[in-house]
Amino acid sequence: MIAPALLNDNYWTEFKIEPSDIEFIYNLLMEKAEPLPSAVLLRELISHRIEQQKISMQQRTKDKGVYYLPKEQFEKGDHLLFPALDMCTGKVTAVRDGFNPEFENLKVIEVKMDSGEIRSFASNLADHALNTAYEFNEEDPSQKPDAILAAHGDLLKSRLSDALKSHDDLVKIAGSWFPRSLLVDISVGHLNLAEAVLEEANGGPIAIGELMKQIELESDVDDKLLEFSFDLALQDDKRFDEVGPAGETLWFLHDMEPDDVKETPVFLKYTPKEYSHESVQQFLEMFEGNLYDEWETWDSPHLSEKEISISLIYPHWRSGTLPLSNSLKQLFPTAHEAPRVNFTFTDSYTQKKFPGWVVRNQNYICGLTDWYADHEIMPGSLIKVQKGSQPGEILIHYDKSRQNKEWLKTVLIGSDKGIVFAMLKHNINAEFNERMAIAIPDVAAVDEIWSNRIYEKEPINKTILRITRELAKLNPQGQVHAQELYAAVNVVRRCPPGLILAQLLQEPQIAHLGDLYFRFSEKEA
Amino acid sequence: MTEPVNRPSFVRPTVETLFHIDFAWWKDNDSNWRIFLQSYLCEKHQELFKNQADDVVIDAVDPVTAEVKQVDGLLHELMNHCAKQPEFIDENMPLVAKVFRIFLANGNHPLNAMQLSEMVNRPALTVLTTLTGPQIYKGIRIFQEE
Repeated sequence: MIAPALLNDNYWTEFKIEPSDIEFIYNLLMEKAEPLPSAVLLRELISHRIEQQKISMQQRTKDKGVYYLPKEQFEKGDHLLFPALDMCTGKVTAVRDGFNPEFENLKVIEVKMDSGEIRSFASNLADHALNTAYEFNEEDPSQKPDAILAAHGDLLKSRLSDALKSHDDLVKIAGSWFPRSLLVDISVGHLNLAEAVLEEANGGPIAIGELMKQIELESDVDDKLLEFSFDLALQDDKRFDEVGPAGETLWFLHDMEPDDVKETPVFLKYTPKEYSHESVQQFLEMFEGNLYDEWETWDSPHLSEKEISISLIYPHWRSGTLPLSNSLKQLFPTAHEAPRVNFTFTDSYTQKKFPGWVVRNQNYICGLTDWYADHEIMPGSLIKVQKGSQPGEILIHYDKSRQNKEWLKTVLIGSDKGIVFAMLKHNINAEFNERMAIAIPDVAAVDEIWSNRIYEKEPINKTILRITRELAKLNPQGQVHAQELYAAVNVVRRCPPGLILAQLLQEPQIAHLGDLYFRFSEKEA
Repeated sequence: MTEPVNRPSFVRPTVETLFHIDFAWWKDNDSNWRIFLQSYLCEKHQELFKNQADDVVIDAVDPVTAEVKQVDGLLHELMNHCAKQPEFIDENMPLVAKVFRIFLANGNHPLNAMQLSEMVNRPALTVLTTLTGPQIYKGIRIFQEE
């Protein structure tokens, strides 16, 4: 006997974590006595909810009357529920002896259905398929955790995670949860030892298992529980930082992390400003490839692309970083919780390996200062990245330029800290994006602009107009391309391309010439 | 104004034309049809129906819903039990007898000459010619949807 569909889609979209769910999870963790990842807890919770719904549905239907099972005998006046007839209900109005050579002692009941119709059913019939227990359809997608996870997984995961976070007694590390009260106590002595071991290893990273081995942390409890307890003790101690990609717990000594990991480089600092994203959307799509900015959300994840080519802007070049835009997030290692993820860059040509860091909250990837310097990379150079063969490895390279020298926009800083652009010939090493390439002969002078926040203090439209005016001088038509302006503005202050476009489009002094070309209006010119 | 009259179809039957046992036609045209059918019962049911009235009705139980419907006892038992026995259809039976038993065994579900030919192992045209001959054998006629 098959029951009707159990839960509709709304059930899961309106899903809220109830106190009884938390109690269920708590009991589950106690019973398993080991930390469980959010995904496992969610699956268990979904199965539990389905089971609860089955019980509740059976109870609800039972209240409407007795299930009609042909093997039972009924009496006049009995209220029956017919599972095989979409849970129709009816009242027995008569009982008579039946005649069928196949079935001895067959009784026939006459039932007045709630619709008013009179129908006859067999009773006292031992051999009939309906006599088997009332079962739910196991193929029904509404009761398959896999199907539910596929359709609503992200939403349910985030709701569960929010609910679990609000319970102080549940702690999470590297994606797994456990009741705090059941954790093993880790002494300060062990933490001090861990610090010494990490210090010895230049800060890390060291995997949790290896760290436990080195400090000889042992206990008679389950290994996983001990590991989890140690992880938590490290997490609660500010000296340590968990830097492993998702699925791996690696520890680093916070003090020994590079400065650019601990604090956002000055060149990347930006306070988001309000502007209409809809008004610039169509223009942003016209930007030529290679433009990735961590403050933009318009670049979609390039799931199919194995390699991404990024044209550097000055702030990233100067900081030795790359933008962690949507597309690049698909390539670089991520983590469940860790705000900083340590990984390895491998130079595709030299096979030289060096550490890199994904700073997730600030959306940048750092560790490239020396590599940029060694390869004479400049703002506008095209940097190519792709996933390596090892987990957490990123291959990086650039294509050598065919020319040794090129005419490039060159930044000249006056004694008044004013910025001027001139076309000068420079040595080049790497291929570059022509619109975004900018030579900076005096980096120290530009640094002074940033450290004194000279341009940062003025309204953004003023900076944009100032730079537009300077770039317009480079061609007789006085035209400026938005992508070129984006690269140039970012030499003096951090600004995402969307904001530049929004300012250009609303600025009365600027005329839009079509495509991404702008110039000063006639009057201004 | 004249009433529309239901006339027999003059369309020539093909190997795809469906046939079945037209019990209504048979009842009207052969008073011995019930005696004839009784002879098709298995031993157990021959015994059972020996002392029953000709038109005995039985309470047929639906295998899915257990709903009871009162049906012609002889036909019901013949089609639901006796015709399901392995020896009911014999390889060496004459063509029409075999076709008749096939319909009894399949609950009188309409079949065409092509389908029947596979079951009786004879060419479809032979089946068609036999079933559309001048003599209607045991009510086997062209199936006409109501």
